[in-house]
Amino acid sequence: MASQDNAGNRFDAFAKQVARRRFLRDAALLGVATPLAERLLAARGRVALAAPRAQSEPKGGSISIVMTGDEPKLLDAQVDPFDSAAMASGWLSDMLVHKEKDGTFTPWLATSWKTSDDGRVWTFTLRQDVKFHDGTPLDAAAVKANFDRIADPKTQSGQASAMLGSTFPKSEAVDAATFQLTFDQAYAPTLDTLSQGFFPIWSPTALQKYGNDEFERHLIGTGPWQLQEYQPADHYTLVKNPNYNWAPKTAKHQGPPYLDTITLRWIQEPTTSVATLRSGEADLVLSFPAANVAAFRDNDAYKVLSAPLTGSPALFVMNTANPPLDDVHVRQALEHAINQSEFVKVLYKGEAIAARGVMYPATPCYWKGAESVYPFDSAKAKSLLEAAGWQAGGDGILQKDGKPLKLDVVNAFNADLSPLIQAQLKAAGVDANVELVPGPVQLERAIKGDFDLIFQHLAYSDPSVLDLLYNSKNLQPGGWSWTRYKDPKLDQLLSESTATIDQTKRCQLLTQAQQIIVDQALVLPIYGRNAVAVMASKVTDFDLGPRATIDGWLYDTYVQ
Amino acid sequence: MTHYIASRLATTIPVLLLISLFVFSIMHLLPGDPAMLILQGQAASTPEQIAALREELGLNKPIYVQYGLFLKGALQGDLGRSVQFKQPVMSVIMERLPSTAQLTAAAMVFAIVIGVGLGILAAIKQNTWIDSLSMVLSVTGLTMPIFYIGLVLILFFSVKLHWFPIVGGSPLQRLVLPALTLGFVSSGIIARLVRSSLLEVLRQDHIVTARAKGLPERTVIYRHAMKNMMIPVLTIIGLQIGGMLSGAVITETVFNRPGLGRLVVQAILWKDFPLAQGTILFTATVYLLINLLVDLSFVWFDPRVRVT
Repeated sequence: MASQDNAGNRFDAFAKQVARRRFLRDAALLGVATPLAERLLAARGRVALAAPRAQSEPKGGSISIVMTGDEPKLLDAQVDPFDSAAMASGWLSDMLVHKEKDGTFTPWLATSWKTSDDGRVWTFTLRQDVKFHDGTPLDAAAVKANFDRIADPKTQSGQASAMLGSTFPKSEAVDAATFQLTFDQAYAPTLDTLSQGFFPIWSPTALQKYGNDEFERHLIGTGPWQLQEYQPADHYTLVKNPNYNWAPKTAKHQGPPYLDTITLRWIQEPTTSVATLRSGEADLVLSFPAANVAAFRDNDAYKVLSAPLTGSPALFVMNTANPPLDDVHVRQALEHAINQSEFVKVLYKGEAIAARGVMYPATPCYWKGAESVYPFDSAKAKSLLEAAGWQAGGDGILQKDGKPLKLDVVNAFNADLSPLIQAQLKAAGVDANVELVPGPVQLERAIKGDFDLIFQHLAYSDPSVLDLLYNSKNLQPGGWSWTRYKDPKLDQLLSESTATIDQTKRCQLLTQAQQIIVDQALVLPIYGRNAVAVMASKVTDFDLGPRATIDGWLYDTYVQ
Repeated sequence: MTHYIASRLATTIPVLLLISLFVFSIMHLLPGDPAMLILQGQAASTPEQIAALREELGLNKPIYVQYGLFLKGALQGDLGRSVQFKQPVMSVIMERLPSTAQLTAAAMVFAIVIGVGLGILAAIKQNTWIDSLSMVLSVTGLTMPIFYIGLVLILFFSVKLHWFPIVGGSPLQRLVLPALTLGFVSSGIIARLVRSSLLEVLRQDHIVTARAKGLPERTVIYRHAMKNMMIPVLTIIGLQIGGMLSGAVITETVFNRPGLGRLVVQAILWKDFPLAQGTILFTATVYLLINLLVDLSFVWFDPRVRVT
């Protein structure tokens, strides 16, 4: 104690010296720091609201786009499986056909097309005036080179190679202007698939010159913009292609696009993504986190664009190979236990929509009847389970032969689901053990069958998604058929619907298939989402196409 | 002194070998065929693709040959080819290294400046409100989750005040907030250690002697106390750098920086084994070398080491 006092005295004198010295030093630093700080703070400043563009000024501008989510490793969607890669590929190059929001197809790189009588051969006539960014003219040989590339195992195409049916079609350049695809079996989703950004046509000269790997840093296509700069894991810079003159005729203008420069970034962390819009560093944010939308809706400084998705909604797949879910009565009982409205209220702050069918309503051939088959009724769920032999247990959990009704639930991507699904199942007498796992682990567990219920959400452009998800032949590594339900009739309906080009007949088959899927209670539909994009109000004429996670219509966009 | 240096160098090499062995075996100890696991992570795996990858990775050779090739490659700087990026692992690492290196260096500067500053202040103003405030600040840095600090800084300095960018701007502007976030955490630890270390040193006899000799207080603190105080602090700083490499993962995610931290996590999640192995080996080596340098710097700081 005594020494402390002494130390205190000593320290006081020293401290005064330090304090004065510190003050002088700080003052000096401030003198230096102020101009330094000014420089640091100056450049990246506030969002300056530019004066509105005068009518006579050419439309143009630069735009900074942020995609929320994992960055695709490659922007080349022929190889990379991400939807956002497909969207970006569609800016760098064009596809053979263009899909409109009403489901029809407009000529793009192909001016016309026809199918053979058996539906197996597609013949495309190509535009004559198209050039790649490196000057190479587009011809059928160039298109063939691209399809061969996708089919080549060395390319390791993650998605595109699997999108044209179970066997990739053979491609042929009949003559310079005619390209042909020959399938083993008629494939109904052909045009829809070819119109997606997973089938951009790249310059064969560039592919040859750079080789597969190095090409990824160059990506020379026919598109409205070209790749100027690539900072790995940071951003891409795209610049206008001044020679572009082959936009689909349904576009609002022709010739080069309006936007001069596009800066493209991926931001994984949703809060950061939203923050960049607020700070002015981003003009347009795609895959906008639904939980943050509300704040931007009533704000005049921003525009909110919400587009419906198609495909399969967010649901839990049932493992029909394992007890107790091998019993259809148990599965049907669980359908009644799910209260979709409660999920919608809690999730995404009300931006979610209830899913009661096995497809998104905007998907062609959607069967609306599915929505009324299993109304929410906890009591009914319990009584159905009791009818299936499950008796009331002590702790509210049903049991049979001394074993409790326990389910392993694998959840992914959305942690908020876990407590809800657990509580709703508990109310029906089911003990649910819910785990949250990352995406790659979810895929593993699904393929291995290591689950009772597993989360799945597959946005898809075409109703052949049902074939992907419920045809028993698709249970394999990389496949999406996880229910393990084997019904030759269902498989046949699904396979046939994928090979039926006639829309009406196709929808009849798909409706029957949906009826079986719903009747057999193979999945628990929970919710759906819209694709949301939020942009600064100066961004004009941006739209999301029919496949809202893949079609980003930027060609007519300009910044005021 | 030579003995000290030699022994430090000698222990580093076996550790490096052990790390390389461990990193190499990750891919082979996991259940399942590595090529299949890798391709499943890329959502593509026909039998042809799997076979092609097996050939490419040399998985058909005996395991000791694979290890030998791996080691030989690593010594020459060839860590294989990343399956997802389709580029040499070393290139991918070199692309991301500057970002992490800048972040770690800047964070360390913040950490040392804030930490040492707060610690000294707390020690010389022991038991006053300045002491308490400094310690409260340091505990805040220690306990608050990094991502929370980061998000708060973003919301305040970027969104509200527009002082610093989140993802844009010049490299220097972009570095400020993440470095502050990462450094703040370390500064807490350093501050507490500096404070207790300095207090202890100031109680010692040689300090009393120095004062008795009539030396000004400034010389006593800076010339006599600091050097002795710095030894444990330096060790902690060396260890902190390793800790920063892991804290960098979160900071890089929040601020969307293209760094090594995010890279290694993504490589593991997507089962890009060559990339994961290469990055882990690289990072471990860097960490080892930094600690080696810290140990060697004792030669300058601690005269007792010079006579060993």
